[in-house]
Amino acid sequence: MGMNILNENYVVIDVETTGLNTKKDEIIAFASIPVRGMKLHMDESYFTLIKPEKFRITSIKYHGITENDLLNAPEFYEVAKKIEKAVANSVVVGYAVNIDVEFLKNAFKRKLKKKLRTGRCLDIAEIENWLIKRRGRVVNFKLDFDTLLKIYRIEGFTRHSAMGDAFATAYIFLKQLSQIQEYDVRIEDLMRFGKKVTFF
Amino acid sequence: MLPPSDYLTKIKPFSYLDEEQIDELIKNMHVSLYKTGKTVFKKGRVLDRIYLVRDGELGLFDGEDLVEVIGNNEFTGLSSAIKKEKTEFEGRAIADTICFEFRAKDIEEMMERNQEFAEFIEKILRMRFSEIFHFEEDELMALFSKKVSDVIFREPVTCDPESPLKEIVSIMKEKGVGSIIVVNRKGNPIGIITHTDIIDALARDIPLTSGAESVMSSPVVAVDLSSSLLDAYIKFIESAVNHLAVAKDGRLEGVITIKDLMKSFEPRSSLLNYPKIVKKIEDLAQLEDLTKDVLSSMKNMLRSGLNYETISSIYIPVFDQILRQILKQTAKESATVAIIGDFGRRELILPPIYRLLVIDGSVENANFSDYYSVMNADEFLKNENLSDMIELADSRYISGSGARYISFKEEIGKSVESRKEEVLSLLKRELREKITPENCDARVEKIARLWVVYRGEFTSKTTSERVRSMSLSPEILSLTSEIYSAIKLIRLRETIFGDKSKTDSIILKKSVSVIRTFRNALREEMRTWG
Repeated sequence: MGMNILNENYVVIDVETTGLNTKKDEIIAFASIPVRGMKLHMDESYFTLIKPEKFRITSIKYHGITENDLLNAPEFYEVAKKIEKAVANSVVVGYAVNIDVEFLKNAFKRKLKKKLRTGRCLDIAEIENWLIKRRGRVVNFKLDFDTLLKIYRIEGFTRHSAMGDAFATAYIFLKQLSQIQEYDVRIEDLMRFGKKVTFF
Repeated sequence: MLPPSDYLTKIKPFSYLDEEQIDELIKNMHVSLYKTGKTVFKKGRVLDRIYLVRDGELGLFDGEDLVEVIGNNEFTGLSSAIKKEKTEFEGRAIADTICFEFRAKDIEEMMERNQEFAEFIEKILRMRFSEIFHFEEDELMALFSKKVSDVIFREPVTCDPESPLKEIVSIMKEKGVGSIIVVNRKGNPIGIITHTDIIDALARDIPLTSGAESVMSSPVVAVDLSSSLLDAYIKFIESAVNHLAVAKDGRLEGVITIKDLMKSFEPRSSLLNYPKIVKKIEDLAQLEDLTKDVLSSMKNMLRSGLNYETISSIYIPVFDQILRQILKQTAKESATVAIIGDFGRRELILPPIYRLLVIDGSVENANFSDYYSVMNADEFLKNENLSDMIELADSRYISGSGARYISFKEEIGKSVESRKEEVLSLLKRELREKITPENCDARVEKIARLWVVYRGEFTSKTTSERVRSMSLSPEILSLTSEIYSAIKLIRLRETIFGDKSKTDSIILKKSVSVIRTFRNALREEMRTWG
């Protein structure tokens, strides 16, 4: 029942990277916001920039992070514990969240020779897809991040910064949770559609 | 910059904070979604957070009674969270609602660090309703508080009093201006010549060789460089001119035209046109239609967040002008006419019923419109009823012989003065009357009038001015005058929009207790007189 969904611990994450290749590119920013009991806990949120090993940033135009910003940022191993703690024991929520999680897992594997343990993943685009179908409609448009922002009439948020995107994602997720509650659905059901997605 | 600081910077009082301060608040914020029917906070608790409604509607409930609705961008919980008082009501979502919840501790800290922020919150805590009707910055409000020096005004084109008309015409053509200011040797503006003046001069066969002085209109209507656009707006309406001289310390600095002002006010400038239109209309039915037009223009103004005194000072000159034009048609040559009642005090009421008192002469068609009632002074005062005479403290000259009006008013003032003991007992009786949400504004008006009259003042002033001049604690006086303004605004909105909002009903309810406090303080004060 719905209770199940409400009692779950969630963490909304967003990462910014040097590029789109999950094998070669590196994480340069991480943001997380815990969601519990229909509340975003900004007081427990975490944000950090991360200094990459190679400065090969091709995506400045998306996230606005420059080499200069990263010069004094901590290296991955310095923030790894905090990231690990942030995602532990929670369902990890995001937009294209599988890609973000893959970046995180690869970073732990490559840099720390360690396996990152995460909870299951939920993607807000997939949730939206589910909600629309559940209402008996057909999804005949692209459910990208901008579309979601429009659906939930989110304006005036700083976009394309890890924290800004995480906040917008969390805000959307909160509103989705509220709708999901009205259906007889368990967290496992949400997982099923949270898994396999193609985004680009 | 943290999300959602962009959003918060647009909302009072967060707009007073700098980026860093907003970020600090956000760092400890909760964002909560409450499903319809869910309790947000209970009654009788001291809250540790304040609630800003981001999206949805929060109801404040007394048992099952909905007392107030907190809508988008409004907040609640302040008096409990900051003053550590127990909540008076239960907060419950009446639609799916998202709240931004800030820690009381953080808000208190910001109040210590940022004075404007603190003042705004204290204002809310002291219930300064009239100023906080609208939390968001309002465009019109911002426009009105701009300075004349902020809007572009024209460099003055000037001439000497002796300059011949011919030369003036060619200067106007050459510089492409519609007016020339006539200045004396010291540079003080002494008159203005506009297109209309030139056409007038030609029509009257005044030779082109005559000097500026013989055709100019004077005195020049001027505003100070540091005046607000509101002052300029009112001057344009009051004096029905197209050009205002802009002066600094009495010296001419420039000219502001009605067109300049309209550009700033589009599309809300329609009022500026009325004085011109009024002057041309001589038909009574058309003047009545115009009154209706003016009334419908009021909607925007009432939504604008301007306070009652400002709205009154914008509209009363317009209605006065329509009235003068009507009297031109209906008053016999020598009739001296005064306004009494609310309009006499320059306080706007709706529908705009003008109570006219004919002191000398007569006015034809005594009931020429729904908006005007006409009484004869002799008739009005025939029983020498003291209450009626005291009402004349609110009277104001409108047309006819000014000297006759003044001597009439002085005469009444003197006979009231001679019956001072009776005035005092009327005041005492008034202080015993029951105060209800329906009559609380009328009570304040009457108390304030009796008080100033008893104190020997017989001039027309607004109720707020009278209240503020009383000898009570400044807190009580300013709260009373603010509540009074808030009630009057509610009355106007009720007439224009047909009903009152829930917030309005709350304010009315709370007003009663504020006005009672005011009344009780007056009783106390009077006891010390012995």
